[in-house]
Amino acid sequence: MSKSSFFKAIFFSVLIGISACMDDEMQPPVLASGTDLTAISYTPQDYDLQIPAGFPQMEIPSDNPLTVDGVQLGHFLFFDPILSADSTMSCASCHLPEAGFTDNQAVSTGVAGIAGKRSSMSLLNIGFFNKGLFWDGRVATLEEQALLPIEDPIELHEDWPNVVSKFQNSPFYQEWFRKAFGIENSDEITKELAVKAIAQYERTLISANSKFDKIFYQNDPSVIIEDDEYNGYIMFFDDAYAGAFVEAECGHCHNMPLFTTNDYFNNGIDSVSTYEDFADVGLGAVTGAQLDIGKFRAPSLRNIEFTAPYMHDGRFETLEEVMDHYNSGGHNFINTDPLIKEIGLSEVQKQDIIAFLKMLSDTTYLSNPHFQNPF
Amino acid sequence: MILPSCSSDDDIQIVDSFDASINLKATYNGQPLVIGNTYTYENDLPIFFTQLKFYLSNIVLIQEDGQQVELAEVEVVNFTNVNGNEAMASQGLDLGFSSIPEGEYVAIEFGVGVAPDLNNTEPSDYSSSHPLGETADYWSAWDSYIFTKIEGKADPSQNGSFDLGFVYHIGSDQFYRSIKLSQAISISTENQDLPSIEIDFYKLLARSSTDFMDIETNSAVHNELDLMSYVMDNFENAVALQ
Repeated sequence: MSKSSFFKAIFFSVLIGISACMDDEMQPPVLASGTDLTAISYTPQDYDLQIPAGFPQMEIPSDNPLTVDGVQLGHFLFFDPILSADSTMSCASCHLPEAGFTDNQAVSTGVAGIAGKRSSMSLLNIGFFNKGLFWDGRVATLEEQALLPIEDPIELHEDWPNVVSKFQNSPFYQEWFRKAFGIENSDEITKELAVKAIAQYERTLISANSKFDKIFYQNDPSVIIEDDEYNGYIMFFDDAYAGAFVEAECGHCHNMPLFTTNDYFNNGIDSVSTYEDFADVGLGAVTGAQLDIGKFRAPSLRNIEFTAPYMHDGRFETLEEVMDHYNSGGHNFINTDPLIKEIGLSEVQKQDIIAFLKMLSDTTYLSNPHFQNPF
Repeated sequence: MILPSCSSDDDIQIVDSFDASINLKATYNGQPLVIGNTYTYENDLPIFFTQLKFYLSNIVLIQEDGQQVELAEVEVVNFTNVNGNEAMASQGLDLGFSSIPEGEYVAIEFGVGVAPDLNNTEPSDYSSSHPLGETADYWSAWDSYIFTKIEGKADPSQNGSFDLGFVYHIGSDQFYRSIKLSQAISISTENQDLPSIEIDFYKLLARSSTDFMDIETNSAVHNELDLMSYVMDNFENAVALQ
């Protein structure tokens, strides 16, 4: 037992002794916080994170290694509405497994009924995103990211001391924080430990069992690529040295295996004449650089079939609309990416690329309890 | 740090070693190149750059007797985020190296691109913080890292619209180029200065006023082998000791 736990134990023993002499009505409220947790077993086991073939190695902070119980705690926290002000919303409310861990809304609405200005991003494979998180890259790590939605008035609209108090007073979470982090007393539960657990869980949200994966990375001979899918692949990755194919330039920002480079672009969706005209300045607000105004992170196209609507503000409802935008060349402005230009795809070729995009759909995780609500 | 060294008669000598860095600067016609600033290209074409990035492999110092001391196996040089203004561009970026043995050297040599043995690997073989761990810089259709990315925009109509993007991505073993820069380099207790190197991006695209990459005609170089070779060949002329 730590020194602080020892004194707390003495304090509460005295308190209990005094309270025994009181009438029931005079008894102080039961303090669930300050509970000694050392009777609960703490036997951390490394979590066996399986990195799919072709994927990069995941950078995991040295002060937050994945453990079986840490991931399990994160799983509970991710789906628990205890994190919100009125206990109606959890992380999963805007990151639904069946929607590719988005919410299929143009912009998300928080517990106060206030709509945000950006679309919920997919969390699948987010452990591999190493150039900033959110659409504007304003935080570097999943631990930092998980701190923010709790107190954001347009998201969970709670405050951390209150959330931590809920954890400290919950026998369930006392036990799991003990198992995950070896704390000796419930008072040692902090927001920093909570976000570490959430980040651990999020790093396990790996999706890499699509038709594309089976063909390209798993060399599964039983899976056959169809003509339209192949044609789409060729155009997506500009692999056409000759012939009738068009270079669609998609792969430069959505490169395999993650189908994102994790970089930031102005992809020409806004018709602007000056930098002041951007409704949302995106990365520019983070870096302060004029050239970064109106740039947003290229999202992964894995499971894109399930994550409509598209773009940072959800302006496009279908993949057809997305293809029409890129095929048109979008709106040119000074910092519109050099790759955004009129492509010249035919209707058939657009459908070929969409067929290829649907090869990136992986539904196998939906039958995996690890990706579902544990409660 | 002190390193043991074997002399010709196999006696063990103790050689000091030092940390040092090479400073690299991106320039355009000799001036510091600022990302987003407008420069005049051939045919009076206004252009600006948005991305300047390339790999260096097998960076070695060469002694007078030809022996090589490796500084690094591979590094990525990315001016994109460090050349945001005049001061930053003038400062350039430093590639740091450790444990360079004390001695007199006559040249520095490196390859532009990813050396063929390393180019047989893939980002999944590395952590994302390793220079070769960046999935954005590997092109599976080539089975190769993208040796260099040069991107920007041009304004053929010269009305400020800059409506022509240019994108030059080059990779594959055949485009790997070695460059040797001769200069007396002394590494000792008193001196740990490695050369400063300039890369002139005008010279990377143009050899003369009559021999240059026509940006308007060739705004995208990705699979055009002759143009890819043209740019990579130009590195030798574009790279110079400061």
